[in-house]
Amino acid sequence: MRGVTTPRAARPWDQRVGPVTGLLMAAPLIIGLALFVGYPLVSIFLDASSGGDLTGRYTDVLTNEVSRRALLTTLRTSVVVVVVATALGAALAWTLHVTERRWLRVLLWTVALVPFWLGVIVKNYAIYLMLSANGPINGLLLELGLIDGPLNLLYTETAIVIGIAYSLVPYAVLSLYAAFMHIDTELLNAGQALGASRTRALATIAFPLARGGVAASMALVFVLSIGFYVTPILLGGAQTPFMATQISQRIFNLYDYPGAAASAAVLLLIAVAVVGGVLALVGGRTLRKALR
Amino acid sequence: MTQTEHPAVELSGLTKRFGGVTAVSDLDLTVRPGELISILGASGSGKTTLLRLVAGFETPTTGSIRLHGREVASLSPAEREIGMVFQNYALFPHLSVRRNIEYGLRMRGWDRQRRAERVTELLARMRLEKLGDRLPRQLSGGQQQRVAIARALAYSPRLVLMDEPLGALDKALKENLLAEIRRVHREFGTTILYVTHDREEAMSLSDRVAIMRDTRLVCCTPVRELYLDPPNGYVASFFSQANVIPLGGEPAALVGHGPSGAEVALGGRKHTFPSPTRAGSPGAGDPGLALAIRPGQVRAAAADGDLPLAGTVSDLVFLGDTVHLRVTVPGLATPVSALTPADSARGMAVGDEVTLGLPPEHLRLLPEHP
Ligand SMILES: Nc1ncnc2c1ncn2[C@@H]1O[C@H](COP(=O)(O)OP(=O)(O)OP(=O)(O)O)[C@@H](O)[C@H]1O
Ligand SMILES: [Mg+2]
Repeated sequence: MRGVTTPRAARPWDQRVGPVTGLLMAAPLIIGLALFVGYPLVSIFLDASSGGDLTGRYTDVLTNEVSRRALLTTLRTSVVVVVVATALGAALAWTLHVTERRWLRVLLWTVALVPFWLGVIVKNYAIYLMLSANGPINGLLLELGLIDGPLNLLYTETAIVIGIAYSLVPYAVLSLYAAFMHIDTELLNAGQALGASRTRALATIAFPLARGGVAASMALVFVLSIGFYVTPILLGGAQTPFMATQISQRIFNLYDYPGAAASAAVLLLIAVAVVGGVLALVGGRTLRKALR
Repeated sequence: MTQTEHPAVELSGLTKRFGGVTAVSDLDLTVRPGELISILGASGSGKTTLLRLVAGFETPTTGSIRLHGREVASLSPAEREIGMVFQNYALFPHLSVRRNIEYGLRMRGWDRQRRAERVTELLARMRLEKLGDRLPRQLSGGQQQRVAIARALAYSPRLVLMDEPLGALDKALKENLLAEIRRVHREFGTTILYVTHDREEAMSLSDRVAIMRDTRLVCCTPVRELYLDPPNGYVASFFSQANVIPLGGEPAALVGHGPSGAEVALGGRKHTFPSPTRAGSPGAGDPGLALAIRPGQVRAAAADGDLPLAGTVSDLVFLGDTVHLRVTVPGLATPVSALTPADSARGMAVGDEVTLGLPPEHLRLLPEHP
């Protein structure tokens, strides 16, 4: 009766995880997400339309002089931040991808990731010191005789851009490096052998292959940038209000919770629109590839 | 045109080191315009590095490269006017087959119509007609290889470098494409450096075969001469697949050396062979000499006049008209191969004691190492 001794098929050595086990393992995160992300999200929109006023506070955010200025400053600054952080990040990430020198790689990774390891206050305070009237930059320019009096570097949009970009370069580098990683540099050799200059090879081969990743990286930087709070206060001061500053003022100075909620909702919708736009632009393909 | 008089490729003292690893050392090679040279060598012998140096993807550590009479050290790959087929194809993944093939033509500013005509022609030649609109990842390995070849040939460069371009193809397709490569070579007078692992490919294709061993170029000789008259034991066994029997005392030894040649004792008999031509004549007892004989010339049983070689059959493969015997001989590290008519090996079995016959007229005395 040998047929009887077949091993039970019940628990094969399967590496896959069943749906129930999978859900259980993810449960803490799912519950956390529902409590700390889902609930506040819903309540923001509910608050913004509370008291029977469905759209009035949104209109106010977009038309009110102060809040409109904050919104435009936030968007304008963030666009510049995206350009700066992506340019710096792309140069770093591409060098990291193609270099064979170990010391250079270590150096660049360190440079790229240091802002990650520094606390928010330390980072901004360092830039504050650099830009202040008697800081090293003004000191150097004065010493060289290029300027007569100290420049007003602080409390400008430029200062905010520098501050935010410095914080966000690591995100740009990491996401761009992930996009570049899959580009075989031999392809650029092939392009050059076929008669392309180095620039042309980069433009016709590397760029199309990295396009989706670059767009995603830019969206990430933009979305993070429009939410910045500490940097605009420290480096921008009162002259250059940011949306986040506005929101906190509405809450703590004006006790206008619904107004704050409407402002936050506007920021959120902009972020969602940018991410959605990028996804539509680069095609869901990149996303689907990531999910597979 | 004075250019046509210059060699297509002139390498002198070419050396490439990667940190502590030497990939190519002190290599000299001159290739005439319109010549097709196969570069044959074991894995890691430096073949790919050699091509990459010529293409300009690597900078020589020392030595010089001249293409068509021009020193190319300062020229970018784009300026060297070469076609290259990469070992891993390196097709552009985001471009269709058509666009891939067209790439070089675009870079050279061909107009749309000319490009389309040329691409269609190449697709037909490479038997890729139906695949023009596919992306590389939708192709099989062999199809990708053909696209890579078409892309390299598209603008008819004078010099084409091919790194194992037919590695992934089946036999019939390989024959087809070898014929195609020969045709391009003949019709357009294209100079081709063709890297391969495959001896038969090298034989059927090339004017000359360059053999690389351990970062060095061993020789670069017309194919027939190389096969029939290998310059040393390494080439004899690597290229002609000959049996190489070193004159180490057992079973063969060098016993005398005179003006008429070198006297060798083998299996209790003596025979005088003409000394191999080599810089400096070999002194008596030179341990660097060996006898070489191709398997097809070894007899399964010694006849009159043959030098006898006794051993034990260790393997026997029936191939139809012929039988491939492997005979372990005391004193030899590798078994002796014999390819003999099936009749002459009738009744033989593994484990049998046999005495092989080595006809002296087919034995060649040569330096054991390059
Ligand atoms: N970029 C590199 N860095 C370090 N070592 C290298 C590099 N490229 C090649 N080498 C080394 O140089 C030697 C020759 O390599 P090469 O690729 O030229 O061999 P090959 O003859 O083409 O081998 P195969 O037939 O396997 O393709 C090898 O030992 C290899 O490890
Ligand atoms: Mg190789």
